[in-house]
Amino acid sequence: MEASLDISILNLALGFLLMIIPIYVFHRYKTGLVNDTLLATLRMTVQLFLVGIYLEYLFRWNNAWINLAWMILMIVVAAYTNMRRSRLRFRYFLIPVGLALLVSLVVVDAWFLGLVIRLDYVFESQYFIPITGMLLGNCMKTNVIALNTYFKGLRKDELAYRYYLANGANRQEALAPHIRLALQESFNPNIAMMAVMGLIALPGTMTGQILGGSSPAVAIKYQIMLMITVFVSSMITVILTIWLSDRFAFDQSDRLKEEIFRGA
Amino acid sequence: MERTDQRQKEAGGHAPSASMSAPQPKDIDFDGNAAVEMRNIRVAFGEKRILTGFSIHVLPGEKICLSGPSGAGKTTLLNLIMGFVYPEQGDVQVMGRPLRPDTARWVRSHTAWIPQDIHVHAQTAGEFLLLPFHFRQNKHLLPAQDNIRQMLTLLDLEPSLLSQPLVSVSGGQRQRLAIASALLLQKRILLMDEPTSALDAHSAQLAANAVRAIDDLTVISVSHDPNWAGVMDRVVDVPANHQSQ
Repeated sequence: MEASLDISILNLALGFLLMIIPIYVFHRYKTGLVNDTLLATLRMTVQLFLVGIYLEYLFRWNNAWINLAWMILMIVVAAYTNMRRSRLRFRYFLIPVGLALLVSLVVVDAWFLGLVIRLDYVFESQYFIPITGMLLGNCMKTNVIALNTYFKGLRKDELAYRYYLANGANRQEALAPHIRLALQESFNPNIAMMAVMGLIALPGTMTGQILGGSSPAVAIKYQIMLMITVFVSSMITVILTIWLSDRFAFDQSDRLKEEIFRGA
Repeated sequence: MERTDQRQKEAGGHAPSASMSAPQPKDIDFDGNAAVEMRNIRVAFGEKRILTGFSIHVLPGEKICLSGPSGAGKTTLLNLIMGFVYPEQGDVQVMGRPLRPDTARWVRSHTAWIPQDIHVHAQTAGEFLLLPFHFRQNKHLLPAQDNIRQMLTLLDLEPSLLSQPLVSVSGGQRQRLAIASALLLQKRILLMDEPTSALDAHSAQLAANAVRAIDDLTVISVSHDPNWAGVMDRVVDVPANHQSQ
């Protein structure tokens, strides 16, 4: 196996020409998405080039402290993005979301890099950076769905929540149906994706590894482990976020605080 | 009580005798205290003042109906008792204990509440009926099958209803199931918000009979139904109060 061929700037531009097709379709049907698509393409390109630059340095330095600092910074960005995509106030949820992501990444990274791959040096940039980044993105995606379902559901069905409390439930018991719903909504897509993995689509990580020169046998093993670690880290993140945020979201009488919602 | 007798006649003798099998609340020493006492209560939501200078004294075992125009604060009074709302001014005492954030859970452990419109996470009518008994605090109160059957009969509900999906149960049946569930819980204070809103006259009478049959049970209900008000010990008027601050 050889490393993948480099793409020249001219050939990259040739690749971008493919975007003419979706942009024409958006324009033809007056979807109003042309500008958004152009902007998103530009942002994606610039962001990825920047990532490419800093990854070059991270790989070159290969330093545990720098890699840890990168992880913390990414967690802060992910927690911030998570909150932006939910209708909840930053000041109540930034710490629970950030802490949940941190614990989840430390546990799963340590398990996977230390025990499964058996790296001598778990902060090895080549492994630590891409795996942490991928876990983080997936945890955030699942967490947004879970938090939105949980708190939106609680607000909508507050009468049912109070009915449980007034008829003898403690707070954990009264919240259990909402946690159940949040887990179902946020993990159903993950379960569905695992079930069809390899059947209707080749996963991106595996494709990337094969393009990068790995044998399909090795790429498949990594893909399987990555699916497992994504699933587990997402679960740790969701459940910890809910547990930790419950401490801030309810008052001493177990009433849901209205001020946790943006626009309240 | 005249109206009660009349309604029992209207039920045409089909109403099962409530006194036969109604469960009695577990003994709690009220120690001479009122079941619920509110003194000079003022409640406002933002700029809107709901209650001003409201006071009430409810004796243990007393059954009262809060009556008044919509928006006067009747449901708010029930929420005050359960610690879901706190007054800006005034005191609330439940069974001799002042209601505060640190006592709200204790108070709720002695109440059962039937809201006007309930949508809970239950698949079948049976799950709905027994839902409160899954909570740790109520597990030891899980009623025997015979008691459940007797309670359903009191409220003119078929036991076969319990296996039906909750979505297929009518509003009236659901309301009676909620009443059955609350009575089986055997708490000392029952809070009911428009308990007959989905019931016909016959079912409403049965519900009233079932509630009245439990001497030690304190009932604080909110209702616009004059027949329901008629079978309560006392009707307390909650006047409209929309003064701006």
